[in-house]
Amino acid sequence: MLPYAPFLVWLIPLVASALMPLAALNRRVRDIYPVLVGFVTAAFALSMIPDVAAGPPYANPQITWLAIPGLITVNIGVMVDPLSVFMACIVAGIGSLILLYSMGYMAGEEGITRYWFFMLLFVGSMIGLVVVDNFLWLYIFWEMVGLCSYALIGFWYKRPEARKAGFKAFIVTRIGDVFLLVGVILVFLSTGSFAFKDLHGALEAFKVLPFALSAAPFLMLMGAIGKSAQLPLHTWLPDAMEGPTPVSALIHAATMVKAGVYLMARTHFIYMDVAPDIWLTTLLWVGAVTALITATMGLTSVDIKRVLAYSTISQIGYMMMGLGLGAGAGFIFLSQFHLMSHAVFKALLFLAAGVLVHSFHGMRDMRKMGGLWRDAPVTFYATIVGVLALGGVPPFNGFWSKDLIFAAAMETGNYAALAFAVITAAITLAYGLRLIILTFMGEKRSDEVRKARIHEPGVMKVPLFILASLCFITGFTGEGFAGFLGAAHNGITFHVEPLSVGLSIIAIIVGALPVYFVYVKRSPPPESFALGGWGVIQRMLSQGYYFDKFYYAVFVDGLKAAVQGFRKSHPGILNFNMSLILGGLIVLALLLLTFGGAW
Amino acid sequence: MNVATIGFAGGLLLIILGIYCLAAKSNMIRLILGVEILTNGAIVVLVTFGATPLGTLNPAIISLAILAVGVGGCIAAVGLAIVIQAYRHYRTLDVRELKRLRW
Repeated sequence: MLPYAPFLVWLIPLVASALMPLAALNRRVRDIYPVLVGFVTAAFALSMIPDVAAGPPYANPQITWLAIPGLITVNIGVMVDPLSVFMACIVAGIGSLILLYSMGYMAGEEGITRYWFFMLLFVGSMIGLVVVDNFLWLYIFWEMVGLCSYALIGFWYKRPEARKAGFKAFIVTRIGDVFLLVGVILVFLSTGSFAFKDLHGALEAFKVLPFALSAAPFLMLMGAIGKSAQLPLHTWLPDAMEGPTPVSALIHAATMVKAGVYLMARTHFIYMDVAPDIWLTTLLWVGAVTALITATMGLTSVDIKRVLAYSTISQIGYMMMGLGLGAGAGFIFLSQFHLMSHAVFKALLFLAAGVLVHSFHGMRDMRKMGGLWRDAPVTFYATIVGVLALGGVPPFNGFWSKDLIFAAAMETGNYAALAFAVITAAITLAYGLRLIILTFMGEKRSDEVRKARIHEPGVMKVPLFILASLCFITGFTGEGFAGFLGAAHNGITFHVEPLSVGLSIIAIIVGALPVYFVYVKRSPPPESFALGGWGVIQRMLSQGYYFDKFYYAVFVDGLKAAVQGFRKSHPGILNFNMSLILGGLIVLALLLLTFGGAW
Repeated sequence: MNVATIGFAGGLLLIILGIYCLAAKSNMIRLILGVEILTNGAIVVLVTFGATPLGTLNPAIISLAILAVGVGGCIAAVGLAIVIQAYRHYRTLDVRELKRLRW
């Protein structure tokens, strides 16, 4: 471990982001400095691996942050255990590659200092989120990454869609965050400490759990649902694609949306003590339903980045399923292994899509693309690797991690969930192949695309190459990774089931054949699905099952109407308002005098 | 009846007077006076809460009260400035004329 790595790994990017205005004084320094900071951070994060690979006991250094004698002491403690080191490495490793890519993607943009500032702030707070050892700091960093997400989605604030998408992401995730905050406060009230390990001790000391503590896990699950864009709070993530593509790759695919999965994995011990059956079933079905429903939405989307966004939600659904299936044995390996696979291949897919979106000046409509495989060969091959990994085709990493989830569902006898997982896998491959065919094959379908010159600068090609090779490599690290996360202590070993491999193969065939007939053979042609009974389904899917329409009707337009109703009680006459306040005070005083004794 | 109780009752009386002034009067200068009476009533109540059984006052409360007096002065200054601007604009001190400022 490099000296003080557990603290410096998140303090370096945070301090560096504060110094960004200074670095911006020189144009060359401005663009190179954040990338250097990213790689230094990655070095610090990776240097912690050998310390935790040796096994427990894990270091847990603490600094007293806030002390009110006799009342409360809050430490900034950091955990150096396999889960947090793994997450920190994902954030810092993929983050540094994406920062490098941003050098090419964001070159010449207006307001790039702001971009670098928020990217570094995000990297710092995201690493902070995964290494701290108490709920209070976790919550603070949780909000900080939310802020960065909002600011970066709305980076092109002159475009109204980008502004709206930023607001939407902020507001929708805030709903989940409020639940998380209540859960954190309940934990503090019932145990008197914010630290994870104190909660662990307190849970063992309680004979009967207080009600507050048994409600806390489900409140925190709502927080995770908001942040990880699971049903029913998923609507913000597809709109978040209005941001720059490296932002989508880093925040909305590889790291921030995994914070919910991390929170569930980190705190799963509470749930196991509270109500293991209800808890695991809830997680399993939140994940399964989300995975299937959002995968079907991806089938009809024509926006290249929205397809990837729907697939992100769907893959996070797999991780939630993995937790629901695997956490029963204190075994978070399933979800974390799929998290690693997904972080790699989804970052790759987004960066590849970014090359195209960048060349077309922000145009993302796949109906206008096509025939690009000769113009952008590196992007083409990167997308193929990414889609095959996403669709679970061997030997890429997505195959191995998805296969383990199938196997776990079979072992635990959750055949309904297994069916959801297999159908989702087939649909996933289908929309992935559809993306490739629409984008890279056939004829160029618009003048905009015909005229555009696609360039793949080196700083954008290198991350693509590294991530594509990682798609191969990480798939084979399953066994070592299981040992690293300590799964072996629970008597669970890494193994490949022939039956679940068979299911994967069936899913691949079922997913690929319809795409072959519809988009390659064109019998029936894709246009025919817009008519008749298929048309109804297609419209429903492309509207995202009308979730957005419903939320707008109830929470935006409905609330506006309700507020207009209240407006009549605001006459604007000061004397009238003050008389009401006086009357209210008198009523309050009378209530206190009458019933105050009871308090 | 000790001093603290008398002070507390007096403070409450001032608060009620202040709110009555705000509720009943429409001259903006009078309203500023009402706000001042209201805040000073609140300060008096605050100070009586700071009384200890030894007959002394809690120093933290005293410092808060002095701060509040200072802030009260600022409120009066800003309020009077707004009144002057409103008078220049509407040529009247009647607060009901400001009704059109409502959203």
